[in-house]
Amino acid sequence: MSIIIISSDSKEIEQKTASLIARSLGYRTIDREGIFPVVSDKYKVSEDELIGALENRPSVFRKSIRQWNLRLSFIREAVVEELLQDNLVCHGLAAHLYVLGVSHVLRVRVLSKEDEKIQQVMERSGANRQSALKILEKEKKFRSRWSSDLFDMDETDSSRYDLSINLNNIDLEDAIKLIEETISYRKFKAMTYSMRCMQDLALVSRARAILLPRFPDVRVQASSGRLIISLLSLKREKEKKTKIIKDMTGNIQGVDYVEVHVFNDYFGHAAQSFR
Amino acid sequence: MNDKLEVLLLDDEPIVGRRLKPALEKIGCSVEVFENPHTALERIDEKLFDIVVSDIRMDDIDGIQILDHVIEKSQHTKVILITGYAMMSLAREAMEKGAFDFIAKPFQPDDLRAVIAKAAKALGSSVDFEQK
Repeated sequence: MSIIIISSDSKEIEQKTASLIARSLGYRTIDREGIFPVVSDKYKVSEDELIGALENRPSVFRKSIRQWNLRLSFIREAVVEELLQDNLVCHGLAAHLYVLGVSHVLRVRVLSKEDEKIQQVMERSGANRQSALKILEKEKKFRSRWSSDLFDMDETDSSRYDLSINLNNIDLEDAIKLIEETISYRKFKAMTYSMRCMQDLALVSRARAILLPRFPDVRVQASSGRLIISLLSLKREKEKKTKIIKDMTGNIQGVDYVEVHVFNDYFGHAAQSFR
Repeated sequence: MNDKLEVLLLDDEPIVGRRLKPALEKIGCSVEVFENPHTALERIDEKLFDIVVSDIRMDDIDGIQILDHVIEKSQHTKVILITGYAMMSLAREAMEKGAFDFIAKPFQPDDLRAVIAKAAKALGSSVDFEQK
């Protein structure tokens, strides 16, 4: 009973690794193909907009940033909902950035072969080798900034994963065996505590998806059925907003209690609200 | 295996034992409660328990050491670790060392009962502790 999240610097390798490991272990795959239609239908967002949220950065306008955050929160809600089940391989949905602290989740980074990446860029853009290298470096910087801006975590930093495999040195076939062996360790089996961590993540995701359209700067935490919500507000609106939030979140599945903290510290809150 | 599960419960906070003992006895466990890890270890050496439930953070001896000791003595006993200081790294360490389950405090007696029922099943008990 475990979950594997695959992340890679190459979409093709990510997809291939996930598919091979899922087939080999008999696990189900969670990917864009399965998640996007669900999110699109539930939240009335087009699949192109969802792809945009995962692959682009918003413009500097506040409205654009809010839309971007909102779409990501919808994706996150649908993904974490699926991850409450077990024996899954997930990829292509940025789950490696928000499914953290859950011990039965193995987060894997697969680095693709440098020469293949260069070749792909040269074919895609018609660039020479030198320019292809520059494009790759630019793409890496972009992903680094994208993930850091949104989740405060650089996805290109291999040290942030449980397992990092470099295909320049290890064949994909051996990488699959390595992942299989690692997931068989007892430390990656689900336990009462890790299941509770995942349920808490699900509560946070459900609450964010509900609250963000109305309260874009809200911050949400969860602990064993207790939702802790904090936001910025004028003092005179504190009571009204607290009531609205409690009404909006009180009936979320799995919520026993809602705690709302309203702050007036505009500067401190604003510094973190982008995350 | 007896119909009754033999359970040793170790926590240096007396309230934990007082609260959990009756809850476990209600589902058919025979429970011995300890607050001192040294005394608990002596008892573990004397008697083969089906399940050991231990707090992790205690003075002198911690729950991981209890787990090591139990596993060294018998592969039969299932060890359930509980802690108010749960972290992913600690949970992984406990599972890798052979804990049957790991629970973060605070929890409801029902949560522990469910884990005990799962352990009973893994021990091959014919009694369905979930139904009790």
